[in-house]
Amino acid sequence: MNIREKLDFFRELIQCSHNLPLHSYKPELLLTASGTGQDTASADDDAMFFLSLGEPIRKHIEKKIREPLFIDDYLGLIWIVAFEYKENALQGIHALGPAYSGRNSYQNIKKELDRHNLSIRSRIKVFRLFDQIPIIPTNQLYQYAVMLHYCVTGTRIETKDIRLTEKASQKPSSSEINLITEEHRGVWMAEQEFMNMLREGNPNYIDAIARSHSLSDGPRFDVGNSLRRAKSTSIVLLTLCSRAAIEGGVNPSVAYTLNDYYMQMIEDCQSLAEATAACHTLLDDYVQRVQQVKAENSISGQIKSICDFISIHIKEKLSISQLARQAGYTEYYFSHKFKNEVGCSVADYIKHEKIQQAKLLLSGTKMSIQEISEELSFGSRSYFSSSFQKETGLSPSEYRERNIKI
Amino acid sequence: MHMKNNINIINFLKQVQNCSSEVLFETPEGDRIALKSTLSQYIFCTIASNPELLQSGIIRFEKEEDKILLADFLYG
Repeated sequence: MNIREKLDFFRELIQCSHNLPLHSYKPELLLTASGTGQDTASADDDAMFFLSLGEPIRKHIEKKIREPLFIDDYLGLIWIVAFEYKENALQGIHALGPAYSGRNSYQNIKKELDRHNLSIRSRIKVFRLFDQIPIIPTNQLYQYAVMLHYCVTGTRIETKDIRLTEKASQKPSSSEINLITEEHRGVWMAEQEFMNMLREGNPNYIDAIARSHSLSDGPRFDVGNSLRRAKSTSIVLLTLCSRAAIEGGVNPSVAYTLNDYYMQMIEDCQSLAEATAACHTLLDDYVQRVQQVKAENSISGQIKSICDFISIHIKEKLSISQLARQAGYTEYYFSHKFKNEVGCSVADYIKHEKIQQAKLLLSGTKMSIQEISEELSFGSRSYFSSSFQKETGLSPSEYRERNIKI
Repeated sequence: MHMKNNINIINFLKQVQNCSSEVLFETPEGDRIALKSTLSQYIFCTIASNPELLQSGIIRFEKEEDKILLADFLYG
């Protein structure tokens, strides 16, 4: 296959999953092939590309860099651009995009468009344009960049080889770095003290936070919006907590799952008070889990593995025979060993873990009680409700009323 | 002033960036688009894909001296 054939095939493969155009241009940035596969030579056909990309692409070419370029503009639109060279002469430029990296980018553009008070006719045209742009996670776009580069050059690269636009990869000047260092004296020690407390599951972490707050109110950056700043600072805290919890013994899968859950909770906050409450909740959760893990140190490795297995497969129907086989014991021996070490029967432990998961789903999602019951393989809604009430003293709907976070 | 037929929209918008002050595009439906911001340029390009809508719009300048920079693209 020649390059053109490879690009056409790649374009069709991408179109199977996403409405993501692949455009090809001559070195002077004249369009040669559009995302639909039809040839056209009009620069007007791809205005969005030229408005955002012309300048970064020219700079990339001037520097004679051959690796693909990852471009994101201030609206959150992303393009991947690959460069086709024959020996030292640029033959073509191939651009995949635009795409949104997340739903937030799409929402932000819509908010910006709303401010323009467009007429209905213009609004329909413009919104249709932006509605067609797909949302694709950044890591997937990086993979596409690697594939596109291979189509164009025949050489394999890794995602770390992909270049970012100049502004994104800009480092601060040395005078800026010196200034920042002076303003953050003592913060490192306070952070380390706080992280150590998290690793130990020490409930006095609140004092450590207070000490670090007296030295700094978090990362220094200006977004012109105090809620956005609070959310970003909370996400930094969440990341530190999840890693400290892993170091404290919490299963990484559990820590990362909680990370995702709390990240969404933080992003959904509508006020500074909610963001603060979310921080308190996640700190409590992680510290308690570390404490739990520490307390379980009297438990053997096999039983701990089974508990981790239960955590990871909490949504499935789990049987004692399955778990006993997993542990390499007979059912009888496994059941007794589990009860001796954990303090409760296997069935009670599984039910308890499922109820904990149900609490997260009730407070953090809009899933119905029936859906939650099915999601956690309870067998029936009534069994789920009665188990939940027995453990928590509240019905699922009462719990949701009191604890809803969305 | 109005847009000429068959102009290169991208070159027109690049030239708008060289203007010292804001350049506005107004449609008969009441849209007022400031052509220097990137999002507004996307909006303008979407509208410009309809030649009838493009021709019926009016270009206004905050500063008169900017008209010379865009003279090749406009009439009236």
